[in-house]
Amino acid sequence: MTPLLEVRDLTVTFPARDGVALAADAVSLAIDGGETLAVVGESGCGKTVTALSLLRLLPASARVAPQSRILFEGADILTLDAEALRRVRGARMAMVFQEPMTSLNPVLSVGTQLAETVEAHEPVNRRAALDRAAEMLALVGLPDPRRVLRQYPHELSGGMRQRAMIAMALICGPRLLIADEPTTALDVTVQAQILELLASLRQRLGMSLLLITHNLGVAAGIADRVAVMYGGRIVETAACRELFAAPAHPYTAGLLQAAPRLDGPARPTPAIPGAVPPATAWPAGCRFHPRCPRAWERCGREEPPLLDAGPARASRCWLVADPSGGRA
Amino acid sequence: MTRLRIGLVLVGTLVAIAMLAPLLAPYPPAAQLDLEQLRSAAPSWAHPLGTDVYSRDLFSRLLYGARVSLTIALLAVTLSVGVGTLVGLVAGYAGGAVDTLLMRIVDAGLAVPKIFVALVVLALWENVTIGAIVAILGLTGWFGVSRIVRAEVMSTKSREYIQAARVLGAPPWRIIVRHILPNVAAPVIVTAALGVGQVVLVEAGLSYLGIGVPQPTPSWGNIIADGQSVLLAAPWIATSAGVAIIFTVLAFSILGDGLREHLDPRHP
Amino acid sequence: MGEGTLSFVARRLAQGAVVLFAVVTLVFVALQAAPGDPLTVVEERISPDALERLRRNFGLDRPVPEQYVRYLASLARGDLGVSLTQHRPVLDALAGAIPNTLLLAAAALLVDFALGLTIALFQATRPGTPTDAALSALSITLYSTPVFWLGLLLVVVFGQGLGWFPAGGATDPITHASLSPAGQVLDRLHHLVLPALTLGLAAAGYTARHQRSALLEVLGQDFIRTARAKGLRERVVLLRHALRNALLPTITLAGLAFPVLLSGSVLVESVFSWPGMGRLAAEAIGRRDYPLVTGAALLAAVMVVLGSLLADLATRAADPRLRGA
Repeated sequence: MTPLLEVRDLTVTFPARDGVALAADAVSLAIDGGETLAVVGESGCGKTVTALSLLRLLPASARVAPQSRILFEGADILTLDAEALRRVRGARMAMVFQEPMTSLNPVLSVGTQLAETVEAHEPVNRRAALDRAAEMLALVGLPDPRRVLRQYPHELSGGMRQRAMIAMALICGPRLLIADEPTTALDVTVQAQILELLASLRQRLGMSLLLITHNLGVAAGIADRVAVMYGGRIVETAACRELFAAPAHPYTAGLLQAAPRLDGPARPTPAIPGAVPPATAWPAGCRFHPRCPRAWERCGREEPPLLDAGPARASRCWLVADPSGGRA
Repeated sequence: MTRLRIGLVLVGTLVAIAMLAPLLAPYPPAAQLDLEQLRSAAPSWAHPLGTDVYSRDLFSRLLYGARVSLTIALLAVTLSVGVGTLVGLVAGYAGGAVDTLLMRIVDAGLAVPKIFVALVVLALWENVTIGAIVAILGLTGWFGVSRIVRAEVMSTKSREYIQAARVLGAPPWRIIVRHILPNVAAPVIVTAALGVGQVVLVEAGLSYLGIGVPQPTPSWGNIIADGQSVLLAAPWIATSAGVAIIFTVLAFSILGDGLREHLDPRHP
Repeated sequence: MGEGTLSFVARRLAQGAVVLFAVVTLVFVALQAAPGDPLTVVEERISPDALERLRRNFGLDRPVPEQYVRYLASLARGDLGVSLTQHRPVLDALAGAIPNTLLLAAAALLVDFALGLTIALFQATRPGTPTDAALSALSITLYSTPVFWLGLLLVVVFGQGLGWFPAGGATDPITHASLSPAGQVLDRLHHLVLPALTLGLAAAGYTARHQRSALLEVLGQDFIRTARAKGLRERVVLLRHALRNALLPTITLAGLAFPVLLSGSVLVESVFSWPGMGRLAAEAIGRRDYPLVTGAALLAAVMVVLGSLLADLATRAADPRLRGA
């Protein structure tokens, strides 16, 4: 079965003051219809750049390497002409952003912002568009949708705004929803509600969900599969349960260990030593090796490719090829 | 070349021209050379910009006009900046009723268009002198500066190191001079540079209307007025003076922009 | 609009009243500070007795504070004094001219915004290009140009030269009365073009500059990215999302433009013989008719205060965040 979205060798660079920043390096991933894929990583790992590339929303200074491919519904997004791209955006593939306050236009009403999405893609009049908007607002769990239509973003709470953004993204029934850190700017209690909303909507509307997050807990809650990114590269992919049960990559293991837990005795949370290097100067060999507790000399010399670590599993780590870690 | 450098070069050239006018001008600006032959003569070798309706050499008049207009503008702006800074400092530092009173005056000053104020005052004066023009333009131009200074003072005043200085017993004057003025300097200098251009325009307008610099002293404004009656026959009169004004105001605008980029990174 | 608008207007009107009071006081002080008293200008022409009577009439022999009170009182009655040249109340003399000045200012504002916004939009959609730089140069040159000189230029080229537009006046002195109502409107518009263009062009340079940076700032904001992500047409993104937001600071700026526009109108009205308040004031100067000039100045201040109030109301209408829900 052809995946709904297939990204191949996506490479994105930015000009920086001291060279070129390699934000995404030959990133490849795929999402099937009806699947939830979580892309997890710290800030600076390239996950947001990857997400923005999917709809060509990168800033003007970004350069996408020519060998990159983003295949969606049988076409390469990167080579679509402007009008074809416009027809995909919002209607076939949609995106929800992290900060709902700045991502919504402060001087237009919620209703206007929802209705204009419909009007941009379907031949409906304003009244019909507003009706659809009210339906979507109800679907995302907002009480009194007609009233919300007339309100402005600053009149809604953070959680309500994010629900409105989700409604706006889904109003034309896209096959794929990209959610870039949808809950990071929200209170913890609201976070859970939004995640639950996303999961239930995915199921009801039969669409796929690409969730970008730095929070493993968020991923664990709703993802079918997880891809971990570091240094502009995918370093591990696995089914969600397997990843959390037995991570194949030391970075993933480190992330899991570093997450504070409520069960078990209180202990100091072990952090991954060191810091993420700048994107203009990734280390030679495996990009994680300077911070890796299992690294050996091969890791500093040669960067591992994504190695097959089992059915539907891959890990960019020499330990997959040589589990003894160079000690044999 | 950065804007600042371009601006400095242009303004420097202008100031140099203005100062050297007596040396550069081939004829005295008020001399009527030959009322028979040389009225509104076209540009020639003897008279690079021609002559005006009274057979005065236009080039010389323009050079002296630069002197007059620039002097008026620079003096007026200095006056404006001085008064405005003082008022802004007092209002910002003192606060309360003093501040409210002063700011109402500023609002009033900003509400009356400058030319009208000049008109009102000049309506009563028989003989306008250059000093009077400087005074009028200077005293009507300080309102904007005072607002800027007041804003800076109020924002700086609440900072902690100021509170600390006050607690330590530093007298207000020292606080103002050592802490507040340096912060204030940058936006004020930018405003001043841009202000010179604005004053040149206002003075030119007044001179054009006949209530500014009195004849036969040349000002670019009254040269344009002279040139208006023969606009089709001798367009170089009004045109050259107009271009001179544009060049001058542009130079100071570029300088102001350059200064702003250089001194005040918060306000690009 | 929400509740709070009424109290907002009331508050601003009260502020405006205070400002006007301060203006009136300042004008009074200016008059007092000028050398000689107002009657020196007519001194030579009349007998000392008549001069004395005039003095008493104008109350100029009273102590200054009393003059101030009488001045305020007469202003409150709407009495701006009597024009020395037209020999009728100043308000009457100016009444016919005010609509012409307002018409010119409004038309100029229209030109200002239409041109300024177009230039700014053009620039903001291609920043850093040679076109952008060229338009910036154009803007800065426009607002460095003396407005009366620009007027002369336009008159010479389009009025006398090409003959497309009349060289002055608000209506055709010969034919206007005999035209049909539609013809009269067209005649007025025909005469309005050059003066409005003159006044508006200079202002447009400033507006374009300001609007360009406002647009560039807005275009960098998140909600523009959202708008594109939704698949909106670029034109919609630009106009409905970017411009709507970028206009907010410009509307406020328009409120501040009134003093400049009115100053400019004095000069432009003189160049084009436009029968407005500014031209009357400029002519009155030559004849030392200080009541007329003062009256014009006060009316100008009133217009500025009202204009700024209108701009604030417009900003409130355009920005829902200010309506305090």
